[in-house]
Amino acid sequence: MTASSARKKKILIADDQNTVLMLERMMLSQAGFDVSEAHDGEEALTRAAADKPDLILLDVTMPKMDGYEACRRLRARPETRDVPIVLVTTRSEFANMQTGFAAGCNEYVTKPFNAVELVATVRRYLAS
Amino acid sequence: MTGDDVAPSDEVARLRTELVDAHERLAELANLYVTTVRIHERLERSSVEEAIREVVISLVGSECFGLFEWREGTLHPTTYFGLAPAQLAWARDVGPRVIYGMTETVVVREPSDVSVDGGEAFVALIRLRDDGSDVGALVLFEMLPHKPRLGSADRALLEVVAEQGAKALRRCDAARGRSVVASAKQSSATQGARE
Repeated sequence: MTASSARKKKILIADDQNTVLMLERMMLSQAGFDVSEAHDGEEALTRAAADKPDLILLDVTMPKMDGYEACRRLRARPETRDVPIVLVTTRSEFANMQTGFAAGCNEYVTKPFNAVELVATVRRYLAS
Repeated sequence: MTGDDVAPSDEVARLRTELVDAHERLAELANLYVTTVRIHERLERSSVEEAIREVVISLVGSECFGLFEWREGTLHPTTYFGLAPAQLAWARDVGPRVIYGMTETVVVREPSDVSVDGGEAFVALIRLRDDGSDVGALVLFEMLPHKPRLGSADRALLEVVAEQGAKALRRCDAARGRSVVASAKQSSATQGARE
C-alpha cells in the first residue's frame, strides 16, 4: 500500500444545524473519512481552501451565504472546480434541483436523508 | 425443502435482505442516538429547543410545527417554525381538548385525515410527559412535500423527542430555579456584608 492510497479521504460538511453536522460527522468518521465542518457558506469556502477536501456536503439554506452561492464560488476556483459537491437540503421542488445543478453540484440529496445511503453516495463519488 | 437443499442464490438473496435491513436499522439508530445526545447536550432551554427544531426539520421532515408547553391550563408556544396564525390559534383553542382525549403519547394521522375545520389539523401530535405529568406537546401540522407520510422509524424518533425533550426542559427549568435561588442568596449575603 502506497502512502497516497493510505491517506484518508477528506470530507467537508457544511450545515447551519448542529444536529445534521453531528449525524454526518459520526457516520462519515465511522466509515473512515476525515471530516471537517463549516456552519455557513462563507466558512465553507474558507475551510475548502484550507483543508482541500475530496468531497463537499453542502446544505442549501445557510446564513451569510447559501449553498447555491457557495457551490458557484467553489466551482469558480481552480482548486475546487473538480471536487464533487453534494447539496443536502429540505427543498425538493424541481426548480430548486435545477438551481443546484446549474450552480455546479454533482448530486442533490433531500432531507430527511438516510445516513447510511448518504455514506454510500459519498463512497460512490470518491471511488469514481 | 430442508436447509441443506437451499439453493445458493436463495441464500444470497436472504443475506442481501438481511444486509438491507441492517443498514436501515443502523440509519434509524444513528438518528435516535444523535437526537438524544443533542437534546441533552447543554442544560439550557435554548439548546433543547434548537435541538428539537433541528430534529423535526432535518430528521423527521416537517417545516410546519410547534413545541407548546402548559402554562396555567393553556398551551403556550415555546418554539415554532412555519406556522400560520390559524395553526397557532388551533393549538391554543382546540389543542388542549384534543390532548386531554389522547390515550397514546404519539398520534399520527394520514394526510387525507388532516382538516382544520374538523379540529384534526395536525399530522402528528406528541405529548411531552415527564414522570407521569404533562409538560406540553409537539405538534406537526404539515410534512415536507417529498415526505408525505410518517413511518415507524419516525414514530420511534418522535417518542424519543417526547420523552427526552420533556425531561430536558424540566431539568433546564430546575437548574434555572436553583441558579435564581443561589443568586438571590449570594446577593442577600453580599448585601448583609455591606451593612
